[in-house]
Amino acid sequence: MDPLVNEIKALIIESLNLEEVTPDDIDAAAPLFVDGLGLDSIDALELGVALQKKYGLSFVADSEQTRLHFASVNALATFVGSHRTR
Amino acid sequence: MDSLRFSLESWAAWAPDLVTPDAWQNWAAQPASSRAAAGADPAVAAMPPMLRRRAQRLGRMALEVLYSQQPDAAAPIVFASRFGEIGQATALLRELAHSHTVSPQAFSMSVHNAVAGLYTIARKEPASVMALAAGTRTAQAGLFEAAMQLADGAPRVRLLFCDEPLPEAYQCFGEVVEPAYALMLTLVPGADYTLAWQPGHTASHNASPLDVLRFVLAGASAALPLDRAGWALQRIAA
Repeated sequence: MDPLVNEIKALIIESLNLEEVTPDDIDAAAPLFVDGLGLDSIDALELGVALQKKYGLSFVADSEQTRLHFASVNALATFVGSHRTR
Repeated sequence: MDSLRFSLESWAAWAPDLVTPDAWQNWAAQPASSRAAAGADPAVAAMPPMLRRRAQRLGRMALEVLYSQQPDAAAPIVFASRFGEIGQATALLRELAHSHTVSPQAFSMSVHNAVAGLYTIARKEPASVMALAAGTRTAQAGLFEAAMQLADGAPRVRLLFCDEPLPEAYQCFGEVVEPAYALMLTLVPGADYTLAWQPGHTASHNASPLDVLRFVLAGASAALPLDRAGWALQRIAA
């Protein structure tokens, strides 16, 4: 498995204060927002800031492309793997 | 000023070192007893975790107290706090100064009425919320606001106070801030208490919310001077 997947799961849990969630509870292929993990728009912004800080990424807020990158943990791992600057 | 009469239906309070009603009764029975600085964390077990995770420590104390009472969408909430989530706000300012990026989640909860709003969402209570901050007169302002909402027709008003000690960065202002606490008085129409102006009976300091709770629980004195102008909370003898 891509080690980035577990790293991103840990980042999600920590940055979004998901107190009762463990990495194993997060299905890497499931939707992160609304369905699946049930995150909301504030979480999306929070996660964006956390990803920027950790991996030196930049996003175009609210673009269709960004939505695709944030669809699931797997999608984020692919995006981080190819665009990270640190 | 007859319209500023009210009765108390219930009270609830939570602090890290005073978790149970009995502990608060003991606290009220011993004037100016010293308080432990540390203690329990508010669990807020009744709140769904996905909403609870938004609240910081002071907010969780307030939520613990709100959740200890039955939900009541007809009872407005008066949220009165001198500094609100000052620990969180200070951390945000530091973060802004250092990295120019603040946590959107923390920022969204740094608004003064955010915790009360989070509560009404979690418990699906479309109750009206008023958020107040009035310096050292926060207790007095909260009591007046709650009494006036009763006079305006509310069947009961939840008057919630909470504050925590100031972070290190603000110590230089020398403000005396009591250990962290949240307390709620549920006011109903009645005539057990009144807010009255008594020139001459002035307080040495503006009464804090904890002074008000002590006055209510101890039951020893007839009046609690609220400020230097002569306003007092009076107990009306039956």
